[in-house]
Order: sequence, then C-alpha cells, then structure tokens
Amino acid sequence: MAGAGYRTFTAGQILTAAQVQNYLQDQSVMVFDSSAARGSALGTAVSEGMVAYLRDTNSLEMYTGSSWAIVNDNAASIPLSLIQAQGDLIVANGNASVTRLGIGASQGLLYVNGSTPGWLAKGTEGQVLQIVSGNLAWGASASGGMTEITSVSPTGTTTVSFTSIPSTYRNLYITIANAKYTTSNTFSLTVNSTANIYATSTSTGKVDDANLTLISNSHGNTKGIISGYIALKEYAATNTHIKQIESNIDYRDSAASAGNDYSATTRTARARLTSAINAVTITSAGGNWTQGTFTLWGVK
Amino acid sequence: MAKENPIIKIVDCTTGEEIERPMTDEEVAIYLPPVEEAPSEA
Repeated sequence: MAGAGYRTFTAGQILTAAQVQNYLQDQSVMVFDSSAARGSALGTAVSEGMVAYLRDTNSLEMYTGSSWAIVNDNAASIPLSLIQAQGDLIVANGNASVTRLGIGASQGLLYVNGSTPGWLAKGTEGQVLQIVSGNLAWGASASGGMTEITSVSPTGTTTVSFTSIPSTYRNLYITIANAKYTTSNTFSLTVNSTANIYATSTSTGKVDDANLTLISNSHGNTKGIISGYIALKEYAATNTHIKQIESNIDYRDSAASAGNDYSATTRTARARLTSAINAVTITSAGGNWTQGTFTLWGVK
Repeated sequence: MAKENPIIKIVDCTTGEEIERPMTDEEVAIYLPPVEEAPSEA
C-alpha cells in the first residue's frame, strides 16, 4: 500500500507480490483516463498518499485518506520565469491564467484600473488624491479657505442687509474695514430679519436682546473709524437650536494715532434660531455710514 | 411732512443685485428698535 515507505532490494532477493503491490504499484503515479476510470479500477483499494494522474483534466491528484485532491492545478502552475525583478507581482489575467505586473515607480499606488491591477504614479508636492472625471487621480486640493461672496459700501445708508446668502459654506465671515457713521451710538447685527433672539456670553438669565449690539456707545468715540470682523458659525445648520456669533470690533478716533485712542469690543453671542441663516443685517443707530466697506465671506 | 425712514441697502448675494430704499416701519422696528433698556452686555 502507499505509505509502506522505501525498500532497498538486494541481489538474489525474492520479490513478493506484496512488495510489488506496496512498493512499486501503490506508490507509483497511476495514470487513468478520468476520475471515473480511477474509481472503477481502484474501488476501495485506496490508501492515503496514493498519487494518480488524470488524462482528461491533466491533473495530478493525491488521496488524502478520504478523497482525491488536486496536487496542483497543472496548467495554472506559475512558472518561475515569469518573475523578472524584485517587487514583481503575479496577477491573474483570466481564468486559470496569470501574468506579471512589474513593480511600479517609487511611491506608486497599486490600484484597480478598469478590471486589472495597475500602478498610479505618485503625485507632486502638495497634491491630494481625489476623483477627477470619475477616475482616481492626484491633483490640487479642492478650493477651501475663504471665498468672497460680496462686498459693499454702506455709505449713505444706516443699514446694509446681505440677503439670499448661499448655504454652501460652513461659516460666514464679515469684515468691516475703515467704516464710520455720523453720530456716537451703537451699531448692531440682525439675522434673518428676526428680532429678540440674541444674547451675549455675559447675559444672565433668559435673555433675548432685540439685536446683537456689536459696540456700545458707552465705549470711546464711536464716531471714529471702525474695523473688525463678525463670524457666524455653522450658519446653514438646521439641527441646532442656536447659531453662534463672534465678533471683534475695533474703533478709534479718526484723527488719532496714539495707541490709547482705540478700543475694541469682543462679543461671543448666540442667536436663538434653528433655521439656516440666509440674511445678515448690520445697522447703525448713529445715522448713516459715511465710509467703509463690508465684505461677506464664505468659509469652507 | 412725515419723516422718512432711514435708508437700507439690500444686497442679493445670489444675483449680486443691490437696491437702496427707505426702510419700512416693520424693518425699522426690527433693525432699529427703541432702546428700552441696556443690552445684555454694556
């Protein structure tokens, strides 16, 4: 039987039928036309380690003790000559067929190109991996940062209202540059033309101010030049009960140059609003604005 | 002669259109409410 081991025959020794069976026949590679022919020929005379070659499938099989199993896939065996260089990859290029994929350039990425593996060469400094026209590619990062939505001079008006603000940004940012209005008073902010929803970080109790006062007339000379910014965070969100608003407004006497002639007011505030902000209004209570620029930015 | 309300400049951020006109009384009430008490932060 297969598994009888190896025997060295000596000159003049009698070769028994069992030795022929066990050492020569059962341990050789038997050749059959098919698995059916093998079954008919061997019946139950099978033992672990038997090896048979089937002509119809060109497969080499061995008996595991319970069934016949393919030793290799024969035609699918991978010839060593396919490998040519360090880093070569062997990949399937069809049913029971393989091919060589040479290693790509340094820093390349292995990816599926159509239906086959391929290399994506590295990008250049600063590029990011992205989809371009449906394909994986390195390219410049998508535009981010701040985008100017609009800029306006408030001169001749008390109130500037930005309306139909697109909801495509994450935050809004309003810069106020070199603005000035007629008489000392406050100026304030309102969103969505809605009053009585504002409070600052120093508010106590359930406060709803009519609007968000950005500077108070109790500070300095508000007839001076005003510059600063207002940030409206997550302005397009509809899943929160408030909108956070921060501002820092610097104001100083228009004729002054000394450091102590200017002051600043910082606000951390909220607007009690669940809907997206689509309008922002800035109003001077001190008469018309006489100069300056208001710029609305969208921040990604 | 009735006093004219302050001027508001409205900028449509989608179309870029700008218009200036006197505010309505409703807008004055919203944007320039009478000061009845100090704001929450002085």
